[in-house]
Amino acid sequence: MHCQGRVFRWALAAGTLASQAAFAHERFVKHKLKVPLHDDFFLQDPKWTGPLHMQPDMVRVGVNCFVVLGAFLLIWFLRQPIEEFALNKIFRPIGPKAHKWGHLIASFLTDKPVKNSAFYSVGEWALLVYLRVPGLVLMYSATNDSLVMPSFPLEPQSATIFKFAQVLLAILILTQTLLPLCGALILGTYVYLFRWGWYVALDALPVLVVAVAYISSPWSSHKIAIGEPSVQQMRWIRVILGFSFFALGWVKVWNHDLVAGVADNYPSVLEDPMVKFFALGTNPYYKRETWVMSFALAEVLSGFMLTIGVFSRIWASIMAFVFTKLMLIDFGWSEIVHMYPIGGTLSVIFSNKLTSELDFIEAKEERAGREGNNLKQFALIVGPAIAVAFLILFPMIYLLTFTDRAALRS
Amino acid sequence: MQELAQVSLFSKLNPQELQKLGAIAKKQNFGPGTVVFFEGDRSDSLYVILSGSVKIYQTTNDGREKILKTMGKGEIFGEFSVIDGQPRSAAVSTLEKAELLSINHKDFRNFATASPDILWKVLESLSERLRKTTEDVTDIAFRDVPYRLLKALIELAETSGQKYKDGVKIAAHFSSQDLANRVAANPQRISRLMSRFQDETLIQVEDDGLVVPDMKALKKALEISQDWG
Repeated sequence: MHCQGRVFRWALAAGTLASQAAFAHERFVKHKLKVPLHDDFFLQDPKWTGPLHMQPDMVRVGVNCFVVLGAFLLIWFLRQPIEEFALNKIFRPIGPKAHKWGHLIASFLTDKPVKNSAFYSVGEWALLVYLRVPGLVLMYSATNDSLVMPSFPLEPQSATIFKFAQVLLAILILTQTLLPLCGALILGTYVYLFRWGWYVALDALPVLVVAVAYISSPWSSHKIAIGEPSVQQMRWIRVILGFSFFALGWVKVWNHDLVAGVADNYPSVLEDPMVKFFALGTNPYYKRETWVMSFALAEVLSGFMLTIGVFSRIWASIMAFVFTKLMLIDFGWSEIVHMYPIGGTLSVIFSNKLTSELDFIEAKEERAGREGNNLKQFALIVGPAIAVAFLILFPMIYLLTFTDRAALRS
Repeated sequence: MQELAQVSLFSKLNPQELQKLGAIAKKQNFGPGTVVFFEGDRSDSLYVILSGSVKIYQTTNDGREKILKTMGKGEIFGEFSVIDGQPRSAAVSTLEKAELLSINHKDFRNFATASPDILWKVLESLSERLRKTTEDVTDIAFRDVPYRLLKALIELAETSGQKYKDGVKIAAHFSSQDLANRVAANPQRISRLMSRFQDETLIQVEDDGLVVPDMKALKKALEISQDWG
């Protein structure tokens, strides 16, 4: 699959065409607050005893997340000796079969190639799901008078043409025909979403995860069997998917009423072990506020991990589970658009071409180890883990305490 | 120390050097079919086979194994990673009960600085490995399956065979799939060829392994194998 030059023109054309007629409304998922949140929890106030005039429970959630993020990064840098210990001291003494299975499991958990026929077969199926599911979403949207995402209803006067356009695009996708055009149309539709503001566009960012593969496919896509995405394609899929949720996590802190509103209407989303862990040690008086903060930071953390390629398979598996639950249990088929990230996460889970953005630090750390410079090696493990965890969380948490709530609501 | 002196890699070392080597080398016992290290591992030890035999293999994404080489007593493996620090390029698994000597990168580096002669031995081993790879590529490109299979059987007999009556016994059990992976052919073809070699009395398949009754006959068959294609 290689990149096509004319794609951007297609995207512009599609965007221009779409902006003539389609129209988006509020989402089908109810998000009206039943009880207002304590706004001051999220804002600067001299009365707060936390550092830099921040609410202490908000900081506490940040610290809990910092500890988890730092720990995951440390484990990532130390995964090789941990794996060696587990395989040689635990699995090998049990027997050759246990040793080989232990290696397969360790390879899965640490994003190394899993060389197993069953895994490979499921991976081939996952790739098909990833490449084809947008067709299902488009078909569903067309039959529900909406544009791509069922949450953006079409205007009655232009509904027919857009329904046909979506069905045509779905057929092209399902038959793997003119994939670069399909990618351009998805990209164009995405660009069109900016008409309703960056927030709406950001919310739909995961839709782009499949556009990457389509755009970088050859025009003769209907004639070829697309095998595995390349290392670069896989990297783009991972980064787009991860960054989407990283950014959406921060948006949840920024526009917390929306998140709390969803929780008010769908209480089942409150039951999440990681979110509950992040809220440990906080004041129960601010239960809903700390839940919003924890929920948002859980998304920031998982999105960030996927963006930088740290335990990608684990985070992608958690995401695939959460999205499937949201679609099948919490919200229903109105949120079928989650099939985009589900397809993307499946392609990540079963890929044997995963890379990490931290590889260059590891190379330096290993070099230091081979040269016998243990102090440098230690610094290259602990330093980046702490620095990255701190810089990713606290500056943004602090900046968001300056949000102008009045402007946001107007 | 006596054992170390018998390993060709260390044959030129003096008693003091052998003693130093004995202090840094770690003896490890592995049961049959045990993986010593996996492809992609970052471990950087060098191994010397004191007894038994091992197979070096790579695995494709869909789980198929390709045996690159089998090795026996006195041979070394793992030297690539010791030198360049890259992840292991292939996996190594024992074919039978084996005793291995491992020396980690740091200790080997210090030892080689004091006794540079050992590096020549390692270079010899690397050159031999490179030569073998080139030969394998040439064989796969230009030779037919019978030739490749006969060559593989001779190599197996020479590296992991033991004297048995008038011939050689390859004690470790090799399935058609193993041999097929090794010579890049399909298992059905290998089964048919093995039956033919049995009919020709070039080999005998026994419950606990494979017997080559006459090595000279097997080598002669290799010479004329192109006509069998």
